[in-house]
Amino acid sequence: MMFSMAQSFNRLLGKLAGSARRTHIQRSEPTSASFRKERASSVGLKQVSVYYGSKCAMKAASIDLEAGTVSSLVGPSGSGKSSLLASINRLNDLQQARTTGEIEIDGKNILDNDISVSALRKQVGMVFQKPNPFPLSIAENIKFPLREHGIKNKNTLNEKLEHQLKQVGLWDEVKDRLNDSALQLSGGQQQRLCIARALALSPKVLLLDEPCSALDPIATARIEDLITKLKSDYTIFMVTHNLAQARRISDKVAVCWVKDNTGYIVESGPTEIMFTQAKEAISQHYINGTLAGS
Amino acid sequence: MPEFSLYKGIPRFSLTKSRLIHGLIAAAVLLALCVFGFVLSDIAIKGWRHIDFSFLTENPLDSGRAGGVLSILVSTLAVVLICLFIAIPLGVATALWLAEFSDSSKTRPIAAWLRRLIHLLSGIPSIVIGLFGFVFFCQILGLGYSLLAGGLSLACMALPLIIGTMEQDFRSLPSSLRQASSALAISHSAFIFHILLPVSAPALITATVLSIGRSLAETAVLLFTSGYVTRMPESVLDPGRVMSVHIFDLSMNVTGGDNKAYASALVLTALIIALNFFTKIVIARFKARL
Repeated sequence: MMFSMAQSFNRLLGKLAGSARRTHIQRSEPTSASFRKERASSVGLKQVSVYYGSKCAMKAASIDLEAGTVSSLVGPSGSGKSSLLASINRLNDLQQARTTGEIEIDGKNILDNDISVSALRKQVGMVFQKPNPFPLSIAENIKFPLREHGIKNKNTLNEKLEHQLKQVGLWDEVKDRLNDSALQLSGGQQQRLCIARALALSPKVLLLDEPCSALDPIATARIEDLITKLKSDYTIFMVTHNLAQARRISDKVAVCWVKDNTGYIVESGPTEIMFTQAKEAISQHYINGTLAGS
Repeated sequence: MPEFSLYKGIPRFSLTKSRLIHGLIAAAVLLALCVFGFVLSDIAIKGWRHIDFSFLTENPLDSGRAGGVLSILVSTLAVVLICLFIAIPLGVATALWLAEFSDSSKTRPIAAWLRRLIHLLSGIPSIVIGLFGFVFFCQILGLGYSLLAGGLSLACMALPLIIGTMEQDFRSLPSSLRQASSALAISHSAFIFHILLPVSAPALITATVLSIGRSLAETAVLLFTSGYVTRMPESVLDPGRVMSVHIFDLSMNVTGGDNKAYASALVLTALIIALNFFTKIVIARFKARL
């Protein structure tokens, strides 16, 4: 019941933001840009739990991420937000995490054993809290992963490099020093380079783990602009501690909380509803910045 | 006391104490500098008079009392190069295994033992390594007194140093880079060759230079393995006398060899100092590029 209400509200929002939608539809035409990617994927999480050994970091999380939208995960530290995020590209596997439930991307459960983790990670890009460019040149940061995935043609690599750097608005700033070390860029530039690097593999889903928390307000604003610009082509899922940011750029918000050392999703819904009339007391308090009564 | 003093307002007792400590630290620094300065100036003053260009271009004559050190330099270079040629690939590969491939439950105990053994190896006195080298390389493997046997024995000394330095450096790579490359589905081998090893290049240079320094200074190991003869070696299977053995022999066994010993010591010291400067420059270049 609640869910269908949320859906119809979503549709309403969609109509209000009609112009944005239209560009989305136009951009989805296969004839547009030369690096046309496939349509963004919808991601469905059903009863997803993440365990590290016996510790349960996230319990039974369910949320639907619609294609072409930004969804935000907010909540206190230790409430399992990042663990949930990293289960979607199975980066959790590195920490020997055990993930149960179902994560469906385009109808395929990516927690199945027969899934190719490498193919999955190409499809689901990730950007981290602290900008982590490789200690290579600016150009190599984009080209090295591409070469690794079989693109060897020099012209293609250079075109791709220019396209990606333009997409994140970095081209004009760095085009004269593409062979300089990426570590010489400012924090905000590094983060945009990392986004470009993730986008170069043509993912359908983009996971952002507090992408602005290490950046100053101006760099943050640029990243937010970028996310808004990108969202029609990707399904974006973002963890953030910045509630104002979640409200500014996301279509959907999920509030996480931690109880008995176990994280869970309190509730989720369209951003404006969550910010004005959240159902649960915990999310109301969290979103208003008041401490929930214990 | 001046008006704006660092010590203003501090009780007299702790003032005296802190001045005393400052004084002691300064004295310690001075003492350390004195030792270094004394050794260096002693070698420089007594050695300088006996060095000319021909000292570097002639072979030693009359047990080293006359002539130069050319064949000694060649032997030294050969032994050090053989040592590096063996120890670097072996050491880097071992460190790589320890840092990158030994974290499964099966391999972890093996890695722990390996680390213990390497630690032990680094503590073995060089004279024991020399005797081992003599028995194993010279006799069992039949290499006899030769530059090859000397280089291999030196490699035994350099290995723990290289493994230790490199493993530590591999492990100090920020985990964020590992995450980034996993998230981009970059293979483990590509990560190692394109990220890990290039980033560790300065550490490899440091480890190499430390090994060279130690090899140049090593006497005991080479006394037993690379031999004593002063003639120019013609292959790695020929024996050859290295610099430190030459200095040892001139000063202990050859009457009237002191001047040449000082001259040789000066050459050796200059080599090591030059090597250190050179490394500093190379590493600074590397870091500037990153």
